[in-house]
Formats: sequence, C-alpha cells, structure tokens
Amino acid sequence: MDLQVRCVTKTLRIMRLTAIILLAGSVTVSAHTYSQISLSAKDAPLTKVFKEIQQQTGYDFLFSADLVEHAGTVTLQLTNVSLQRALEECLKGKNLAYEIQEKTIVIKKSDALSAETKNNLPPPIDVHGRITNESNEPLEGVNITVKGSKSGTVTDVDGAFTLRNVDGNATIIISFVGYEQQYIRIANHTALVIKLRQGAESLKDVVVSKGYYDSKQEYNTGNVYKVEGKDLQKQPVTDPLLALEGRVPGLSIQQVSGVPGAYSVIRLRGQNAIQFGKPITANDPLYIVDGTPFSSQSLTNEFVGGGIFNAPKANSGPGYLLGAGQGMSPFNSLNPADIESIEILKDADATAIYGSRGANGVILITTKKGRKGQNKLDVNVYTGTSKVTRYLKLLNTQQYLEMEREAFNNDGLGFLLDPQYAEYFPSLLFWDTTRYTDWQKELMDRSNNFSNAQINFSGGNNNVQFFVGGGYSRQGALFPGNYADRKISTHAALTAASPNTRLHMSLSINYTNDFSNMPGASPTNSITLPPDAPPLYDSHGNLNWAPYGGTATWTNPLSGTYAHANAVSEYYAENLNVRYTLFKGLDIGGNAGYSTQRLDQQNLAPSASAPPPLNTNPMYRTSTFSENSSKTWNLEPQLSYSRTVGKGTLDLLIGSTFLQTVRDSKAELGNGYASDVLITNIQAASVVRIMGVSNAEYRYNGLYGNIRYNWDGKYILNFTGRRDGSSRFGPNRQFGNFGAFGAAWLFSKEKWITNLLPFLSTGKLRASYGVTGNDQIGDYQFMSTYSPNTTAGGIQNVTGLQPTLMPNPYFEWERVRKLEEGVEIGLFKDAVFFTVSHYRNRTDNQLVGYQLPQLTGFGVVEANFPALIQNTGWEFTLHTRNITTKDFSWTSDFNLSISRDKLISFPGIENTPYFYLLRVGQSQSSQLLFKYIGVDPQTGEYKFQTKNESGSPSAPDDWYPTKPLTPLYFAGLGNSLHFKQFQIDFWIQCVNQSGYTNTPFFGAPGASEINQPQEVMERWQKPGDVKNVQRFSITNSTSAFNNFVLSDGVITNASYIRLKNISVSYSLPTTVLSKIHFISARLYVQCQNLFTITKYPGLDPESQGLNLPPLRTITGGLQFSL
Amino acid sequence: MLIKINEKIVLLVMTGIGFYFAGCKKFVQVPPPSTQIVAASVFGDNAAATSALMGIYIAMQPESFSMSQHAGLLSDELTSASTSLDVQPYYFNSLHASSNIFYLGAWRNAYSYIYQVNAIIEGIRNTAGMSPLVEQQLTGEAEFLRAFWYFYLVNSYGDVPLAISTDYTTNELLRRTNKDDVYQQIITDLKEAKTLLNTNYVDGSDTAISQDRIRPNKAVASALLARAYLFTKDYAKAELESDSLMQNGDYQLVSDLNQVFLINSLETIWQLPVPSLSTYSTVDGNSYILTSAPSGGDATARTSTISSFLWNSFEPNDQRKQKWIGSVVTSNPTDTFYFPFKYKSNSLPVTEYTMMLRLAEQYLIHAESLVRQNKNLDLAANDLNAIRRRAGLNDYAGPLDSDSLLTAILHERQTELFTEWGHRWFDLIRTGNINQVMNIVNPQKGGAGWNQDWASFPIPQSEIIKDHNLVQNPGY
Repeated sequence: MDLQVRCVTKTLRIMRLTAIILLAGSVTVSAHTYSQISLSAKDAPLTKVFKEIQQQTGYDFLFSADLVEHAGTVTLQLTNVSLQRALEECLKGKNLAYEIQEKTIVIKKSDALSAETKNNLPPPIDVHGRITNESNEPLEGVNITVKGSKSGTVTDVDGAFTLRNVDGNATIIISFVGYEQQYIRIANHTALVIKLRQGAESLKDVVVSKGYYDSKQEYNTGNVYKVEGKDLQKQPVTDPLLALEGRVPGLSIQQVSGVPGAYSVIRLRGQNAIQFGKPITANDPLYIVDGTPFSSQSLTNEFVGGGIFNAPKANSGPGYLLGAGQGMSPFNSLNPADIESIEILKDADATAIYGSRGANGVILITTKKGRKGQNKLDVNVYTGTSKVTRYLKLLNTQQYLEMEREAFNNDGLGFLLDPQYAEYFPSLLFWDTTRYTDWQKELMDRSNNFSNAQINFSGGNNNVQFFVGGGYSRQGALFPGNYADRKISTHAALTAASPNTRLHMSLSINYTNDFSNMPGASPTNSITLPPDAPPLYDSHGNLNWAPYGGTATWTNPLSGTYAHANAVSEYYAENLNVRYTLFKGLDIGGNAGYSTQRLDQQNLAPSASAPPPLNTNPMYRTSTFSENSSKTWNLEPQLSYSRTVGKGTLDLLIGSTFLQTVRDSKAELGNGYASDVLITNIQAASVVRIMGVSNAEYRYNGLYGNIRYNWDGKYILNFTGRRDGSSRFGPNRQFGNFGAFGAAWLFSKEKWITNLLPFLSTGKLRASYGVTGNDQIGDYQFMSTYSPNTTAGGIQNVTGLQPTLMPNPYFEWERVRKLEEGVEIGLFKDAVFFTVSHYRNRTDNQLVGYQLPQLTGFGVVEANFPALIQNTGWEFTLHTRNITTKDFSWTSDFNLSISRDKLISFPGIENTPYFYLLRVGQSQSSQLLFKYIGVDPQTGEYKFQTKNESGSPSAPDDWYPTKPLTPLYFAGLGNSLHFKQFQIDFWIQCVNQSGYTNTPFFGAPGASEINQPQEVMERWQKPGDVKNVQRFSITNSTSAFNNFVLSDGVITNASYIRLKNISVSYSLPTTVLSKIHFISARLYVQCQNLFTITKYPGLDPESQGLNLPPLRTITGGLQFSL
Repeated sequence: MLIKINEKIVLLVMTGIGFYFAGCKKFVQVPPPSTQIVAASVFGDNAAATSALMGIYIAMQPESFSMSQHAGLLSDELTSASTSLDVQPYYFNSLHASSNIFYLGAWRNAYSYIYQVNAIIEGIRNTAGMSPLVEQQLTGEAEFLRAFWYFYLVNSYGDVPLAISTDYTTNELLRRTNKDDVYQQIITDLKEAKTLLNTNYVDGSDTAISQDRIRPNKAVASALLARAYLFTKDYAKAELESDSLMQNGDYQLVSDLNQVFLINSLETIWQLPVPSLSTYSTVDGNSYILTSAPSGGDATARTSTISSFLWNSFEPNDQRKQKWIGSVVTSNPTDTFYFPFKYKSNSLPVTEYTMMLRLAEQYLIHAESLVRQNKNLDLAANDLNAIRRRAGLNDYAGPLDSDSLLTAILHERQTELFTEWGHRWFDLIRTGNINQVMNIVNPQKGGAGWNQDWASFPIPQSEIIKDHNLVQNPGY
C-alpha cells in the first residue's frame, strides 16, 4: 500500500468513531458546504480519487476497505463540478452509492440505498432544473431536498441541479439563505425552472458579521442588527447614515440640518460618556468599513471652520444641543449605492472583541462584492427635488411695528423713536414701514434638484468574482445661486480563490470625490428679519444694503450667498483580506487596510458679500484655505481553528490589531486682495497668515481571542477577551483588558418543548455580560506641550509659544460594563418573528474633559471621575409575513426602543463643576433650569419658583432637572407589499422627545430688530393681564427674559411621527424582459420625509432652531440589468 | 497526527504572542506631534522660553482697547451705538453674571495670562539649561505681568482668587482672596521684578539693549509699583516710585500732543506693538477711529464715540480736545461724531505702539501722593502744571489747599488719561466718587438707575458654577 492510501485508512479510522457518534444523533443533509471539484484520473484506485476529493472539499470518507478495494479503478476527467456530480461519476457502474452526512461521505453498496425505492411505484425519474432569483440570475448552492427522504442536492454555478431516481409524485423543498422556501410537486416534470423570491426568509438564517468572525443569527449569542443595502438604496439620500433613521432598534439619529453634507448626531443605546467638554465624537460608535476603521470625526478645519458648516468644536455647556459646531459629515464620503449591508453591534458579546473601542457599539459597513454567475450590468438613475415642508407663523409688518413701539414705550424710551435715532432703529425709523416681506417664503420656499446615477458590472466564476461600479450624484442646496453637493464615486471588489479553495483573497477599493459648494452663511437663518426689511436688490440689481450715512442698516440675507464655502472631500480606501487553510480546520489569514480621508476647503469672502463701508476696504476681501487629512492603516493577522468536540463544534480565534492614524491640518488666511476676482489665489493677498497647523498621531494595538462552542445547535457559549493599548494614554496607562461572555439556549430544539408548542419554530434565550472601553478623547492630552501662535505674527522677530492644554499624565480607560438579555421567538415557521432585548450599560471611571474654572488658565482638563452612568433600555422587533401568495405578499417590520439614562452616582459631585451640570439620579440630557410659573399679572415679567422671597431665581438653588432631551421612545414601522410586478415599501418613524421652543432662537420680543413668532402677540400689556408672554421690552425686562431662557418655559414636547420613506416600483414582467434581452428592469418613485405629524411649534422637531430642516425629497427613477 | 497538529497550533500561537508582546509596548508610544514642543524642551532653551513669554505679549496687546472701551462705556467717557451683547450691557451698566457674554471683563484672559506666567516661573525654576541672565530677565517679566493682571482683576472684581501656581487641583477650588492680600502679592511681585529686570530695555535675545520700549525693565516695574502704592494709599512710597521715573532722564513729557503715542516716544515707559502680520498700527486706532458714522448693530469696533460728559469736561482751549479727539461729519442727515484720536493711525505702516504705561500718569501719581500726604503742595501743583502746559492750558490757578488740588488732579486724570486702560472708571471707584457721578450719568445713558454694587463686575456665573467656593459680588 502506498502512503496516500495509508493516510486515507488512518483518517477512516478516526472518522469511523466520529461517524458512529454522528449517526447516533440526528443526521441532517448538509445545507451549507459544497465545493467545486476538478478531477483527473486514469485507471486510478477509488481510494486515491477519494483522497483527492477529500483534499479539495474537506469532506471525509467513510467506507469499508473491502468494498472499495474490490470496486476496481476509475478513469475520469472533470472540471469544476459539484461534489455530487463528482461522486456520481466516480461510482458510476460500480454498484456503489454514497450518502452525505454532515461533512462525511458514506460509501455503501448501492442496493443498500435503493432497497426501499425499488419496491415503490411508479418508477423513479430524473429531474433536471434551474433555479434563479427574481432578476433571473442563477443561484448557486441552493439546497434541494426531496420531502420525506434523505436524498438531495445543491445547485451548481449555473443554478442547475439534477435529482436522480426520484418519485415522480414527490415534493421537493427548495431552500436558500435569504430567499423564501418553496415546496414544489414534481408531478412527473423532468425539467423545472424555479424562481426564488428574496427577502422573506426567516431572520434566524441571516448570517451576521461580528467583525472578526461571522455567525448565523440563529446561533448568535450577542445582539447584532443587520440592515441590507437594498433597504438603504430605496432612499434618496447621499449620506448612508440618514437611511438608517428609525430602522434600527437602539440607534438614534438626529439630523441637525437639511443642508446636504451636514453632520448628524448618532447615538447607539444612549450616551455612555459624560459629554460635556468632550470631542463631539466621544459618544460615537466605532465605524468599520470593509475591515478598516472609518473616522467619524469631521475633517472641517477647526481653525477656520467650514462656512455654512460650523467649525467642529467640543461641547462645552449645558445648552450643547443648541450651539455645538459640527462641521461637514465624513459619512457624505460613502456612497449608499455601494453598500451591501450595515451591521450594528450592540452588546458586550458582539463588541468586546473591539476592546477599548467598542464602548459605544460598532457599526460595520460592508461594500458590494461580485457574485458567481452570469455577468451583468446594472444601471440605476433617478432624479427629483427637495423642499422645506414646515414653516413658522411670524409677525407681519403691522404686528412687528406694534411690538417694537410697545417695547420702547413700556421701557419709557419712547423718546428714542425720534427720527434723529433713525440709524439705530432702522426698522422703525428708516425703512419703508409699509413694506411686507414674508422672509420664509423669500428665503426658504425653494426647491432644488437631486439626481443620482449608478452603473456597475459584476459577475465571476467559481474562483474569481468581481464588481466594478461608479456613481454620480448631485444634490442642489436650497439657496439662491448655483450651490450643490456633487459626488463621484467608484467601487471595485475582487475575490479570488485557488482551485483547491485553500487560499482565499479578497480586495475592495473605494474612492469618493465630493465637491460641496455652499454659501458662506445660510440665508435661512435670516428668516427672523423684520418684515419691513428692505428689498434684497437695489434698483441696479445689486445687493441692497439700505445705507444710512454710508453705513448698511442691515445684513442682507443674500450676502452669505456671495461668500462661498467650497470643499472637496476625497475618500480612498482599500482593504485586503487573505485566508489560507493550513489544514482542515486551521486557517491563517488576516486583514490589511489603508484609508485616506482628505478635505480641501476654500472659504471666500469677497467684498461683494460685505456691507458698506467695509466693502470698499480691500482688507475685507478674505479667503481661507485649508488642507485636512486623516490617514489610517491597519494590519490584523488572525488564526482560526474549528473542530468538532463531542456533539458540538468548537471555534477558536486569535488575532491582533495594529493601527495607526495620522491627522494633519493646515489653514491659511489671506486678505487685502486688490479685487474680488483674485481671492481664490492666496498669492494675490497682501497679507497672508497661517491660522493653524496641527498634527496628531494615534496608535493602537490589541490582542484578541475568541472561543465559541455550539453544542448540537442548542447550547452556545461565546467567550471573548482582548488586551488593548492606545497612544492616547500616558506612560504606563496605555494598556487595558476587556472581555465578554455570551450564552444562548435554543429551547425550540428541545423535543419536549416542540411537543408542547408545535407552532413554535424558533425559541432562543440569550444573555451576555462584558466589559468594553472607550478611548474617544483627544490625542496627547497627557503631554505638556507648547504650540506656536503665529496667526498674528511675532514681536521683535520672536514668534509666540502658548501652552497647548492643561496636561494630566494620570488618566486612564473609561470602562463600560454591558449586560444584556434577549428572547427570540419565531412562530408558524417564523412567519411571526419577535425579539425582545433588554440591556444595561454601566460606565464608570468616566474620562471627562473635566470642566475647570477659567481661573485655572484653561477651561478643561482630561481626567477620570468615579461617576457612574447607566443606560438601560428595551428593544423590540417584530417581523411578520402577513400574506404570502404567488401574486401578493406583504411583510411588516416594527421596532421599538425605550431608552433611559441616569447618573447613578458621582461621589463628591458637590466639589466639582459637574454639580452645576448634572444631577445624581437624573439623565445626562436633563437640563438644570428654573421652574417657570407664568407671567406676573402685576409687573408683566416672567416669574419663577424661588426658594427665597426675593422672587428672582438664583442658580443653583432654584434649579430643577427637566425631562431628558434625548428621545425616550423611538419606533419604526415598515411595510413591504408585493403585488405582481408592483412593490411598495414605506417606513414610518416615531420619536418621543422634548426639545427647545422657538424662544431661545429668537431672543426677547421687542428687544432687538428680530421678527418673532405670532404667539408673542399674546403678551402682557397692562396690570391684571394673565398671559404667557411677558411685556415687550427693550432693556428693562432683559433679566427676566434671560432667566426665562434658563427656565423650563423654553422646553416643550418635540415628539413627531414622520413618513420617512416611501418607495413604489414596477418591475417589467419576464416575458417583456426576455424579448428585450434584459435581466431585469424597474421603474420607481421614492420619497423621503414625505410628511410629519407633530405639535412642535418650531420649524422641525428633529433639527430644532433656525437651521434648514430636513427636506422632503421626491424622486423618480429607472433601474435595469443587462 | 492530531497531537502534532495541536503542537503546531500552540507553536504558532506562542510565536504570535511572543512577537506581539515584543512589539506592542513600543508601538503605542507616540512621539509628540510635530507641530508642538514639549514643555521640558521649551524651558531648556533660551529662545524657546523667550517665545513662551512673548506669546503672552502677542496675545494681550488687544486688551488695551477692550479694557478702555468697557470701562469707558461703564463710566462717562463713551457713548455706544452698538446693540451687541458684548458691548451694550456695559453702556447701560446692566451686566448680568449669566448673560451670554462668555466672560465679563478681563476675567478669562487675565487668568489665562496668569497661568502662562506661572508656567514660565515654574518651568524656569524646574528646568536646567538656560543662561542665568535670561532666566533672571524672563522671571522678572513674568512676575511683572502677574502683578499687572492682578492689578486689573482686583480693580474690576474686588476680591479675586489668587492663583500663583499652575496646579489646577488647587486652583479650581480657590476662594476669593481679600483685596489687600492680592495687592500684597502685586507689590511683592513688582519689587522682586524690579530687582531681577534689566536696567535697559532688551530685545528678543533677552540681553542685548534695544531702542524699543517693549520688554519691561526696572523702570516699568517701578511705574506699576507707583500706581499700586497709590491705589493702596501708601502715598509715601507712591511718591518715591513716581519720583524715580520723573528723575530718570530716559523719560520726558513729549511736548507735541500728536507725538505722545508714536513708537518709542520719550514719554513711553512701556509699549506693546501689534504682531508682525497685523493689518493696522494698533487695535485702539483701528477700533476707535471713525471714517463714517459709527457702526450700529452687532459690531463692537467703531461703535464707541466720545460722550458729552467727557466732551464737556475739557476746559476751553484744552489742546487735547482738538488733538486727541477726532470727529467725523455725516451728511444726510448731518451729524457729528467724536471719537478718541490719541492713536492717529488705523492702517499700515505701523507708526504707533499700544501705550501700556507712560510718564504723564507718573506726574499725576506724584502730584496726588504729595497732596494726599498734605506736604509740598507747590511741588504737586508743579507736577500738575507740567501736564496742563503741555495741553495748552494755563497753570493751575485754584486755591492751594489739598482738597482743591486733589479735585484738580483727578480732573486732570480724566482729561489726560481718557480711554487709556480704564483710568477714569478705576479712579471713580478708588476715590469713592462713583455713586455721585453715576447717579447722574447712568439715567442719561438710558440705564435703569445706578446701583452702587455695580462698581464691581459680576464674577462670571460660569465660574461660580465650576468653582463653587467663589461667592458672587452683591447686586448680581
């Protein structure tokens, strides 16, 4: 006997033991693994061929040596055939049969298998078939089993299958992950063409990525929510995160502005870290695109800002929702059309493998890859418009003038209404008081164009698959002038495997170029102009400044559109994934990625945008230029091992991460240009200065391990450990240990339960507990450094140095302890699928930008605090297949999130500044405000509840905490209806929250030349009046008004229900398609933010304030594949 | 065979872990950012340490305008056309501790400079590598600057927290220190500075003599010391310090009023220039000089004009009224606006530096010190007359008793030192004349009636929130 045969025999012995154990338990037909086999043999013994198949597939053989040795030799030549086909060819005419049990191929005498069928009538037939998806693309690997028997097969690369010797009356079951299961009676047909419908599969079959490993949802011990790319692509948005709004339980998204490219506030299960004084990213989840981290930090230059997008800055006070700058959203650099899926990892079990970065959850974005099968070209084009949907009711000219005059008279300042003061009070004394302009209509009531075109080509064979695509989108801004956000993107993915499938490599490349051309300031912020403000243009068609003695009397709202904020963002990312099977079960591989995010900005302020007399001063012509970049590389070697132990499978994983991010930015300012046409070239400036140069390096290193054990598909355990080091911490404090433990029990697989509850198709209990960390703080906070201050230049040829920050070398990790319990129930073959999860995240060792009084020299220092913050919540999801017939199907999805946060304890808070920002026992987003009790009928001023008798409230004695300003409940309801060629999807979003009224954004009525909402006319006028708005006043009642803005009088219900998205599409029927040789074609209409139901008094309950609110977008388009 | 496989795994894993632990510790240690310098390097190097000090001068040179505008609006010197919340509350004497002005008065900036000064003093003390002469000059300047800013803090707010180290754990909980003790620190610092500083003005090298009167020397420390003694009623010492400057040949009153504020004028004791990239000569010139009607709206610069109170306080023929006050006449409607015109330039080239301390004040300190001690009133009148003669006025002709002379000196301070670092406002407080004056002035400005508590700024509410050991001033 030669060596190879001996090996097989040895394997045989081992496998025999395993096989006996397997046979003793349940035997199922393998549904997952199938391989493409190529064989070439001439008069080779069967054992040798089996050995070859074993190497190529990893399947083991179980056979009796006598039986096989006497079967003779085989001669065959096969290329890329399925396992079944290969086995059939090998055993042809040998009176042998095979049976696949798990990963073992059992070879038997053929009579032994066909003994039963021989007696059956009518005679068995061979059935050939082809299975495709709805777009007529072949599906490979579809499982076909004959009902009531153990025989079955899977489709090959062309979607084809053959079933031999089956009963002509049998029913076959066709099942494939991601598609509806179908039962088809053969009815003596020998050729079948079967189309599988996507989407209505059981949720438990979905395979989710947990970053470093995948898990079938059924066996997942953690909480991972998956959103398919196709659901994102039904929404006309350019920022993929906006398409997640309302769709993911626990994920709250607040769009703060309707300007394309603006930042949104994203919170996954609340705020774990004390936000005050921290970078705005401190509570952001970790984003990973194709294995490489994606920085959620805006690149907008911190020194010069981004025009209409403010400069990104830390939250520094309690009113952070009102004023925090954000900058441009980096997510605008991702093309939603290139996204295959987004996975949201929430609990410790899912996030602990990210160690110190997993505290706020992890969002994995996976881009599209090629699939085996027919090569196809996809084209998708849509166009449409956006508009503001809600307006405020503001005062008309008459009411406005009445308010102003009353304010002067109330304060005894009526004498100031003399024409000699015309320049100070132009709206009353200088402008044409018979004019009326509805500034909202003038500045906001516009529509813009939104167009999008995507083209891609994909396909591949067994070994190589590819995807190449490109996209273009242009979203106009709602402002007068040619303002728009234009995006060009390309995406390519290549997957390759060696013929023996031991080596797998995949590469993905993304490039996006976004050009955002926006005004320097948003004209929509000027809707509060007095209604008698002058016309926008003078008689010569120039910007009208209505000058008085050569000086402008107003800021023309269009002046901002004469200034420009141009920004070019580039995003380039590539990721290579390699996996090599050293031997069965042991894979070595890893991930290497590199990404660059760049932002080049030009903020131009020509003198045309300046009021007289400044517009004659060349020094006013100012332009800033900034270059900002973030470059990241990561390298993640990994080793995984999988084997069966007892009745279960054991998976081991060990890996490491090396990561480096370097951020650089530079901003220059030039002014004193001789002419407006020169301001794009800084060389033409008479004065040039460097506004700031910054450089920061972040390095991160981790070692992780994961052990999973799945016993018989019933009991699953999952351990994760990670040791992490981050350069953001001082010497000897860089490393920390994190870990989690998760367990699941699939009780529906217990016989006694299925006997008791036969309608129960899925039943799972799961729980997890673990520790993750957070290092989302600025770099170098532990280092005492000086930075040059050259903005202004030097003195006596010496430039200045200034301390950069208040150093503290002693801070360390913030830790989040996450506990989660969940139940997953599927009823009636999972037609109703219900999940509940409850979580409790507790964060201590709070790493805070600790607020210092200015008298220490700095307002903030990074430090740990023993404060304990708890986020708890319930998340419910319900997925139902309401109706499934041949022509009509209807599925619904519902999710509800209830989230609460609480400061559990903060020892010694009374000795810290946080005593004035937070209250133990309250939410972090509760505002500490005075209690407003109405307008004093005698004085006409706002009154507050006070502890002392003075009547004027004082902080902190008279403060009390308001309701949290973060959403308390939020829900989404989606329905998907399919009728013949029509499909309708719509999604409704509900949010229950509190927010700010209009008052803080408008200021005191009458105090300045700012128009007010209609409701202020219900003001106090004379003693005895009982009203809700205090007397109009220029100065006398300022203090009462200031206190009012610091009271709960400005907090109101900002809940809303919004029809977030509706998409209607019509697909051409197959008969038409085949005539025109299309694979698929679809016409559709998609709408975003169609309408909103709310009692909120402001422009929009989501964005609040005077920002441009989220827009209603309606688009129509065409998609087809060739 | 299976055992061998396990061995392979173990070997691989062990190699991996070994490699990992060899590499990781170093991997996460990052060098300082290329754009910053670690503190230890700064104070081991003469030039770098000098840059750290110069950083303070560069940052603080615009303070002259802020201080003079705020104090001028609060008192009776300026009229405001601005509705900006950064300006208007000063004018109406309606400062609100928790208003949306992030900081009120000098608080935040002054403490930032004081932190930097403390860091320099500590850095020099704790780091070796600098030459002793440079260490001495820099420490002296740092102590001088600390005294300078505590002087303005104590005059603006009354009792203030006294931070004399960079340790935030101590400073964040400081209580307000009694005004007298703050003055004690000021005087200690100034005396120390006087011994450490060079006799001459030095340049950026810290040792070479410079014509520019930018880097404080012994005389600069003396000048502020004279003022500190005057404010603490230590008149004998105030007399001595101011006398030392009047006797110093380097300093003379400049006879031409138009040349007092020019670069390196002989009257200058201490000046600060604008940094090299500035687009104008001085912030004061750029912000006070009007070329058209004062800006209304939200602007802060070019919104303040000379008030009728100040305008009317000049004696007839006072040349300062012609030369130190400018006017702009607007047509349609016709109107005349008067503005501070001590600084003549609002553009380039740089012809003037911002005046920090000048000799005329020392004459008036000297005169007042004599009168307050009721000795040598003739000499006091001489000092006063030196200032009056330069302004084109006749000699003081009033009775030679101390009360009359004192009134004359204080009036001279009003007309000589207007819109310079808030002299008028701080004099009103110091002399107790504030209620009498403001009771008249406040209503005429459109205020809601004067309250004597408003002589002190409110401590910013945000500061009390963060350091709850701070107690708010009465009246806020």
